[in-house]
Formats: sequence, C-alpha cells, structure tokens
Amino acid sequence: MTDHPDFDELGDHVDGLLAPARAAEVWEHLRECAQCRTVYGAIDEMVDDAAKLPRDLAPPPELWGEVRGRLSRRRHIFSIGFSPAGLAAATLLLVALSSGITALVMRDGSRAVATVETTVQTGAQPARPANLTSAERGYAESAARLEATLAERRDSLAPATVATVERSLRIADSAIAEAHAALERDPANRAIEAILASNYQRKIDLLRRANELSPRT
Amino acid sequence: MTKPAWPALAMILLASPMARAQQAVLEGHAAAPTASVRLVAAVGSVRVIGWAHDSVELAGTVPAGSRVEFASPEGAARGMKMYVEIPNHRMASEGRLVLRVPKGARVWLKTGSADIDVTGVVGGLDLNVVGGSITVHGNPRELRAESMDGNVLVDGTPEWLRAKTATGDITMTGGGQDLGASTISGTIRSRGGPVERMKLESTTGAINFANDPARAGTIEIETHSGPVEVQLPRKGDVELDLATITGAIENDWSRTRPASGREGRGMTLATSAGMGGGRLNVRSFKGTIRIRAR
Repeated sequence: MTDHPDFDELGDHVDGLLAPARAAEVWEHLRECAQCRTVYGAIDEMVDDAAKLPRDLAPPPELWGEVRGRLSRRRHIFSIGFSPAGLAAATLLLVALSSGITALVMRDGSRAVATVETTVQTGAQPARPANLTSAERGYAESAARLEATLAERRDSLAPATVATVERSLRIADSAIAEAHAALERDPANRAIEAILASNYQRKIDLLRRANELSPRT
Repeated sequence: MTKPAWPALAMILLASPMARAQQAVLEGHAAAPTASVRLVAAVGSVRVIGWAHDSVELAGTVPAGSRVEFASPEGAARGMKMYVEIPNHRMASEGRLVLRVPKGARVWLKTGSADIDVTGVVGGLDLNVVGGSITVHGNPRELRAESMDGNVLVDGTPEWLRAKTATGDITMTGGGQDLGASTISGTIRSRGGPVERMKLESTTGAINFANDPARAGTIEIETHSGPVEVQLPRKGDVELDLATITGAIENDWSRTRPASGREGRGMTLATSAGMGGGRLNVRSFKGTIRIRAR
C-alpha cells in the first residue's frame, strides 16, 4: 500500500471501524510511514483524552447561545480562507470528537444506536451530559469549517453537483434545527440527543464527501 | 422497392460526435489474484467484470485527445493505477470503459457522472460517483459505494457494505452480514435474505426494510422525518423496539398497541414474536413507523 490513509480513515482505524482487510493494509502502512504514525498517534491520544472526560458536568449556561451565535455567523465565516493546517485541525477535531463519542458510548457496553432510548422521567429536568454538549459544539464548528472549504471550492464543481449538495445541506440544517429546538424543550430526552447527533453526522459526512469531489464533477 | 438503409445510417454515425471523436483504449497487465486496482475516469459508463484470469484489462473508447495513464509503483502484479483524463469535461458522457480484474481483486473506482456496473467481483469494491448510478451484482467481500444524486443498487450478499448518497436511492436485495446505508433524502430499500447486522439511516428519505433479521442479528433504523416501513414474517423470531419523538407508529404485525411518548407526544412500541432471536430497533423524530406482516 503506497497511498497514505486520510484523516477520516485513520480515525475509523482508531475506532476499529475499518473492514478487516483494509485495517490490515493500514497497519502495514503505519509500520512503514512515520508521518501517518504521528497522525494516528495524535488521534489515538485525543480519543483517549475524550474518553476520560467527565460525564456528569453541567454545560455552561451560555453554551447554547454561543453555538447559535456561531451558526448565525456561518455566512460571515464563508468569506474567510482556511489554511491547510486549519483544515487538518478541523478534520482532526471532527475525527477525535466522533471517536470520543463512540468511545464513551462503547464504554457503556452497547453500540451507539443501541443506546437510543426514550426516557420517561419526571420531576426536575437534569442537565444534558457534558459529552454531548461538547459534541454538538464540535459538530457545529466542524460543519462550519467544512462548509467554508466547500464555499472556496464551489466554483470548481459542476453546477448540478453544487445544487444537489446545497439542497441536501438545507434539508440537513432544517432537521438539525428541529431536533435542536426539541432538545431545548426536553433536555433529558436521550432519543432526541441521538437523533440530533445523527443529523449532524450525516451533514458532516455530506460535506466531507463534497469536499473530496474532483474538480468539474 | 425499398432502398438500402445503410448509407443513411453511415451518414448519421459519421456526423455524430461519437463517431468522429473517439479513441480506443486497450491496456492489459498480469496481476495477482488479489491485486489492488485503482481507476479514475471521467467517462459515461464503466463496467467492472471480475474474471478468472490473473490479469487486468481496461478496454473501451474515450473522447479523442484523452490522456490515459497507467502506473504500477509496486509492480503490476500487486497493484496498479489507471487514470483517464478527457480533454473537455463536457465530453465526459461519451466514454465507455470495461475493466476486467481478477475476481478477488480490490477495486477502487472514482468517476464523475459515470454509471458503474460491477459483476463477479468477490474481493473489495470502493466505488465513488457524483451523478451516475452504481449497480453491483454478486457477492463482494467488502463494498463501499458512495454517490451524490445517483442511485445505488446492490444485487447480492456482500459480507460488508457501506452505501451513502445525498439524494440518490439505495436498494439492497440480498441481505448480508454487516450492512450500512445512509442518505439525506433518498429512499432506502432493503429486502431479500437474512441480515446479521444492519444500520439504515436517513434525514428525510423513506426507509423500507423487508429482510429477515438473523438469529441474534441486530437491525438499527433511524430517521429524522422519513417514513419507515418494516415488513416482517408474522411468525419470525424477532424482538422490536420502536420509538418516535413526535410521529406515529402503526402496527399491523402484532396485537400490541403503541403507547404514548413523553408528555403525550410521539409513540413507543415494544413487541416480539417467536423466541425473539433477532432484534430490530427503529427511531424517528417525526417520521411515521409502520410495521406490517408479509
């Protein structure tokens, strides 16, 4: 294997999500490539750190306002260029957050989707877990940076492709906003948390794929 | 007396862009049975055929003036890369390629608007298109298929599958061991054989599931607002756990009635049949969930 695995793939490798044959190839590559070993080590370390985060801290009360502010400034962000290092950091952040959430969920002994449940609780509404709150902030930041990259590449893509991607992003954003509003009304509902996270993941995955498209496609 | 039609036909062919602006491609190399083959080509269609020969062959036609490159940095036997660059992207739909690979090969294929059709590959497939469709017949060990607005059809039983689209539909007709499909607004349909592990997810796209969960299998379906329809054998061994935040659940499969969700919104339903061998979980924000017998 001569091609370097990208950040996403190394992140999947850390999570153990690669197909067995591909995982073997990546291991083989890591043995030979110091550059990729360094990246892999950084991701692995961040996943470990994320897994050690406390799970019962209340989020700062101003956090949701901050997330909303960042989202509302997204159009402004579009006009700002990002360096390759910044993009790499964004990707690394996304992978680390994704991996961290997976690690936290897996630590509960069940798979991510399997943990979705409708809680039936009464009394005072508990605060949302700190890990998901951080995750949403990370999702929003990562999505904004990927959207900025896409905005820079927009003119290099075919108009039909741009139209498809933008239409899908509008759908994803609408779903995120709807789930987010529902979670604000019912902060203890883990089923909404999971759906919100999935909506973000699909949007980020769409952005990642759009950013990987070849020019003129 | 009827005049011969061939002169008129020849005139049409000669006058068409296809006839006057094509160049042939024929590239062949020996390869290991599990060689890695990469092809990047902006053409109209690519057929990939797994064959019982230890060689790779790329044949077809591309627009005249195209650049066709071949590279095998580790030797053609282990792997090779092929690259087809056309002189003008508006000609992309004109090229037609057929790629023959050892059936156990790993194939990585990236195109723009090409329709990809794969037959007979039992190794690995990593297929990426934007506007074209992806069709895979057979039983690859690993299959990753990604499209933006093209449809993905998997007619077979891959051991491992991950299919993603933005607006394109995803259809799986054979079951498998570890399957995943994700879309924003396309429709996901899965039917056919038993499934051991599966995750289907959409934002607004409909999801139709009609496989049999394998004993101890786990099926996860999640959508924001797409309608979900699950068809199960009435006497199967399966345990269901369904929940929707604000939507509805319709159960025509068992006598268990859905319960109201939190604060009277949404619904939940837990029911089972037989020994409850397989497990099927469905979650939606507001999409209706229907369970039907088949």
